[in-house]
Amino acid sequence: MTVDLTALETAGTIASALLTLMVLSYILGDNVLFRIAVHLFVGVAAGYAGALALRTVLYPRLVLPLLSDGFSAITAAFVVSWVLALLLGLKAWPSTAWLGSLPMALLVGVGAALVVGGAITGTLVPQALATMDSLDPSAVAPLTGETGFERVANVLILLIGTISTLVYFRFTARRGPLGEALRSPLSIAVSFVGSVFIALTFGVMYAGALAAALAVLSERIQFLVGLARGLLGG
Amino acid sequence: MTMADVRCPMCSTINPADATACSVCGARLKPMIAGEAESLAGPPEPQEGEAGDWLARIRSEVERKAETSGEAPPRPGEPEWLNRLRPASGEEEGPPEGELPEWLSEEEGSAAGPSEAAPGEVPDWLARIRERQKTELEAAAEEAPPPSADDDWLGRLRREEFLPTEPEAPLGEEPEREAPPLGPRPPSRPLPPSSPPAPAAAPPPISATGPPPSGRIPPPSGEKPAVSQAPPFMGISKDLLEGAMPKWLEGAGPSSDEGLPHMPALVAEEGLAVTPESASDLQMGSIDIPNWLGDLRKDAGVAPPDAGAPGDSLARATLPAWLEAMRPMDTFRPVVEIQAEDAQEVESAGPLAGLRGVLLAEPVVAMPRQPSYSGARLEVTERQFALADLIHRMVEQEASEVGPKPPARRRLPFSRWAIAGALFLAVALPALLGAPSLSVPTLVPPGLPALITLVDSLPGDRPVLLVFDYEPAYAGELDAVAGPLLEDLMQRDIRLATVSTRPSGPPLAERLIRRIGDAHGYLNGQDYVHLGYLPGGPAAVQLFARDPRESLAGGFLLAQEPTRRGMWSTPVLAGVQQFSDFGAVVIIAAGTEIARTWVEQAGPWTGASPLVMVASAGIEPLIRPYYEALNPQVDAVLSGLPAAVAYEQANGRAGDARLLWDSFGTGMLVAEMALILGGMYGAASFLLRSGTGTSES
Amino acid sequence: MRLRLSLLWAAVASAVGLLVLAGFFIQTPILIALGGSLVGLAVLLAGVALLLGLYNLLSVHLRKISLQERGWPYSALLVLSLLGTLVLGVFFGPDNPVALVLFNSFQLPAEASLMALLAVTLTLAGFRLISRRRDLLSFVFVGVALLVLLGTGPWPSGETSDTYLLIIDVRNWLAQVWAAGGARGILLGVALGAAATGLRVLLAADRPYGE
Repeated sequence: MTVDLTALETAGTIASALLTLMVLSYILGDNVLFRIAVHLFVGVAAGYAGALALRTVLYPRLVLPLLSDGFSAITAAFVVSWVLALLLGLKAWPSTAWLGSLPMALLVGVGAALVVGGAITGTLVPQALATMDSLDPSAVAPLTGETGFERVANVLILLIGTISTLVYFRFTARRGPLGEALRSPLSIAVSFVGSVFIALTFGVMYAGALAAALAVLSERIQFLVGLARGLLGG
Repeated sequence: MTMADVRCPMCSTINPADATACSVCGARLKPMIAGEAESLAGPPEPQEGEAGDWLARIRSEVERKAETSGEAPPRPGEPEWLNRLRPASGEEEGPPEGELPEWLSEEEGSAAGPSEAAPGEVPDWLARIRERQKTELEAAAEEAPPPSADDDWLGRLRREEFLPTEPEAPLGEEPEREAPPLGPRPPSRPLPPSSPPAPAAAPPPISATGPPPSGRIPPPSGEKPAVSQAPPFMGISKDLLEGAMPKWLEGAGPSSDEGLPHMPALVAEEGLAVTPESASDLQMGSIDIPNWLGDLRKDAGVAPPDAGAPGDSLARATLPAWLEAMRPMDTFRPVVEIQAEDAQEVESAGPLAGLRGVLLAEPVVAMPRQPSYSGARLEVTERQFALADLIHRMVEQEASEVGPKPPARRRLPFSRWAIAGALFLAVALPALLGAPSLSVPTLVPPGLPALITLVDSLPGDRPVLLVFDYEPAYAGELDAVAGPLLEDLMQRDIRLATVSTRPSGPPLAERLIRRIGDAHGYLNGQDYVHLGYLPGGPAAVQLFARDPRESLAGGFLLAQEPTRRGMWSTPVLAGVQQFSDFGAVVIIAAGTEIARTWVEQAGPWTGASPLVMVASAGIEPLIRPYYEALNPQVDAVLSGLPAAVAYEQANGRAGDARLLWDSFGTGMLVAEMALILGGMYGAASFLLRSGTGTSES
Repeated sequence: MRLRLSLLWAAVASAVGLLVLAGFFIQTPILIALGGSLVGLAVLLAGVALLLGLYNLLSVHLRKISLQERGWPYSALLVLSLLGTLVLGVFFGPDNPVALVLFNSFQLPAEASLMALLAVTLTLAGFRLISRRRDLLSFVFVGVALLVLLGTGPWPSGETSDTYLLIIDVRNWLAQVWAAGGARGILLGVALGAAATGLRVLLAADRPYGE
């Protein structure tokens, strides 16, 4: 496919600038330009994703073996892949949707197992071990190299933060005589400390998200300024 | 209670065996005839149950009386019911001493002498009765019982037994006496808790006491009463016996205006008399009424005499203990109020016409009444009450009409415009004017030296895997943050392979590597290769980590035909058989979930290869626990524009991070000012509000 | 029949899931091979599922157009752009220059601009939070955010001032110690929740795959 890339890129640059302005116009309120830009974006994104999935996932696995290897490619695994793919495709119509339950069950089962296995072996056990390891008096802080009292204090804060945050997410309680939730005073106190730690963590995340958004805003504004300068300045 | 004691049928009070009237309510405990028989024959007979045949009892007592007194058996032609008439008990109380009514005094006066009836006209049985009455009256006069509050009209009737049978023998009542209802004697059952005071025991029905010889009024039992002799208390006049019309019925006749004929009231209460209308309803031509009823008409309109002492009135019926215990407290409100005797209405219909204090059957039946027993008290807890109140308020709110909402006034987002304008201006100023130019950070982030050291230690013959798992929205930040790392890798001529689990990953990877690689002469297919896209999230990561060669079927922007063999045969991927063969794994992510997924799923498969995380500033706190550990799962973290600027400084090459730093810095200043101003505004409004509240209070 | 089918799907999900889960803890060749095959099938089916989602998006907007519902011109624009990009990508490849221009000129700037709007939104949200809510947690949230921002951005008076150094130290201490404790607790909680949810699916307590 031979296309004048320069013209295409120029047109693309102008479209990019227009779309940026159309989306940023949302500052003034919801308007037609914003809606057009958003619908265009969704259409292009969905179409590109579909094309990518078809060309890089389904075609190489389901069609290319037949084209390259012929009937020798028809193995049990190949047939099963085709059958499952077709069955899942039948889920698009309500009358045949029940046939797609088998591949969905497989998909969900595998996904659930991966999530459970990953959570246990990748987060729960390592993080618990890391918490225990941090209590080692002889250990050195990996990032800052702190030792001694300063490190112990930091470790204690880390430990209190971890435990109180976990306790905060415990929402079960005993039922009181009037139907209200009853929790022990210790649990309430620890949950409050955990909520403070969570607020603190979310404050740091909020600052990071704001910084990220400001960086993107800076990039967009600089793009517009640069384009304007290029168009005006020649 | 002994076997000899008697239970009152009205109030269930235990009375002595020899009592004829209840000491509490005054109800008659024994039938008249039976009492008469008892008083003449000796000890009273024990009553056999409460539902005995009263007529049979009367009959037997009359016979016994007849045998005892030696009276002649009933003569043929005379009604049998006369033999069964219960003789009046001599224990019945008469009027208070010295307060005999006129008609009684007349009777007394006239009783002393022989009857005025012609001797030839009076039947023998009647004469005998009168003789006996006279005798008993004299005897009773000697041992007259003290007057009590339990007088009843029947007692007065019994006293007339000893009076001459004058037609004017009235049967008056003491003012304080309540009019007993006429009718069958009620069975001896316990009364309802708040029923009106039990009236005196009803006398035997009229038919049992004084049916005329002609038998117009049949006896209740259907038996033709035998009239061997008129009961002494009846005082049946000679005229009546002869078939003459009683005086009080003179002038009375059936009225065509009236409806059904009514039975005349046989008892005249004080102040209450048989009205002429009611009396006129009677077809008395064939009814022989005793003389004592004759003055009822005369007494019409007479003011009732003084009611006497309150203690003389009929006592309120008391409930037995066992019945009192069953009584539900505060649950039964009698609809029917017990009125004073004077205020009671006179029954104008039915056989009880003319009587006062008759239980109103029709209104009571038709009146809505509360149940006599409404169950135990409802226990309501505070929570239940609160919930019920809440539901009640909700229902009320549902029922209440909601007024039309006024159209919402459109409010202009001035605050949004102000902040947006300030931010845009602050970010655009450095790009437009080149000023202000902010100083780059000199302080090196804590994790940067470790990252630089790690990159420096990477083997040059093994490609580094770059995972582009972020959306185009974060491209502005992550391209700037990952840029110096790519610069560093490219400076070391390390080959690069990219992969992504997002559809936008491969084009983003191409965009970034192409922009940075152009300066280093990096070519696609020689220095870098795009392995492509794998859908499925954790499944894709796990599959790629298990076996990268088998997992990816097609690449992206491959120089060669996208066959599995072609892609992996490129020199870029030479020596890579499994995941751990990569020199390092650099995950560029903007989301916590995908970053955690790569750490969990691919971490165990990296082997000795370091795992580097290039993360957006927003998710850095959640990635740090994987990094800050004695056995970290993430070997290095690069996050935030300041770290990227510092990295560029360390590289000695300015990149996108430096270009963005000024705009980023001014934007940050505006954001900080906005937060500080917000805090100041909040504090000022709080102080003003509290000051206003204090002044108002 | 319906009950038997639902039990069959539950059995499939549980069996497949337990096989893959066993591969995490028992490293035997057969388990690894079986697990790999199942995961590979899952990746393929995930691609088909993406196309299913695409079809659903198309059908919704096509229905909107056919019924001339409110906003149908926007739906028409979406359908046109979707089909055009899809056809272009399928026939010429998603890595052809035109497709890349479409990506770089439409998808990337639109998404980036939406992210840029987030800067305004987040700043406005922080302003409103601190100006209207006066409770301890709000103060902690905004206070820490302000400290981190002050330590992240450039300092007008330069980075040599004692105040800046103090703020940097406090910021680092907050982010690396206090926030790390909370973050570790959050991570553990999320992992526990994910494990519980996954186990519910494996034990057929939850059946999101339909009947």
